[in-house]
Amino acid sequence: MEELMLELKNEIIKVLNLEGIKPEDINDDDEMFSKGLGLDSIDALELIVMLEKNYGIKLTDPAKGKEIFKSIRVMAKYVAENRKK
Amino acid sequence: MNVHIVNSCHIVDRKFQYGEKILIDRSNEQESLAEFFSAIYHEMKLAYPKFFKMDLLCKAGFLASEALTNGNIDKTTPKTDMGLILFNSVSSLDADEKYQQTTSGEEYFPSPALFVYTLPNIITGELSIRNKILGESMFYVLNKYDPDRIMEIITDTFNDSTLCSALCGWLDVANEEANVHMFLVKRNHSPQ
Repeated sequence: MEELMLELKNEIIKVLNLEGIKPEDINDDDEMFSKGLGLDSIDALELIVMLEKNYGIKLTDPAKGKEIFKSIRVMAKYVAENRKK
Repeated sequence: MNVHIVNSCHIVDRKFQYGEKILIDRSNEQESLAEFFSAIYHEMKLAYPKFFKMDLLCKAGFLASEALTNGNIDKTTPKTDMGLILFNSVSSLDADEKYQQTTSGEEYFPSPALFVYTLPNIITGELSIRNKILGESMFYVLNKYDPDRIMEIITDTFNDSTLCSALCGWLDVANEEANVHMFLVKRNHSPQ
């Protein structure tokens, strides 16, 4: 799980262009939206695309993203349980 | 003429110029346009993380507008008498092409972050948010850089509106090149 969380942090920094932020700056349990990284709705859509592209996970209900992207730990758990690749 | 140019900012040939003074010259660096813009951002000591999510057209306009507005306007007060009058000839071609790359080929993963910049006038929104500009905003796509036509449109806009000032200018960004000439324009006071 630790390895997957680090992988997700690196991927999030890359796809969301979070310049100046390092993986160690993102706490595993920090809220990613509103507080924490301060991501917005376009970022959420980009993360949905990333899940499909990297892990073969298709989110048919975008509203579910709010739950899945709560924190890195929650996201990693969901990816580990649902990944197709 | 009912307006005058307060100051200007130019981004051409990997040089960043404010008025007559070249502030940053990276014409000898081997770097992408995105890297060049990032270097300007850091050199200007700006703190606006949204910058890194913008497309190259918005980054160019943002950097030039920061040079023009810092110390000249209050960014925290909403301004209904300030507007945006921008021009170019290539529309949002750079963002359009990058978005198209995500929708073609074997891997079909359209990027939402790229899609939101596939209109040239997105920059008017970015600059309005940053500077709390609530006046008229427009983005014209012309056949070519035509300073006389541009000045005519700017003066006509001031004639037909209640604008007191505007960020105006030319913003062409394509093929890893930027050709930017932006100005802070103010209405002349009427003679008493």
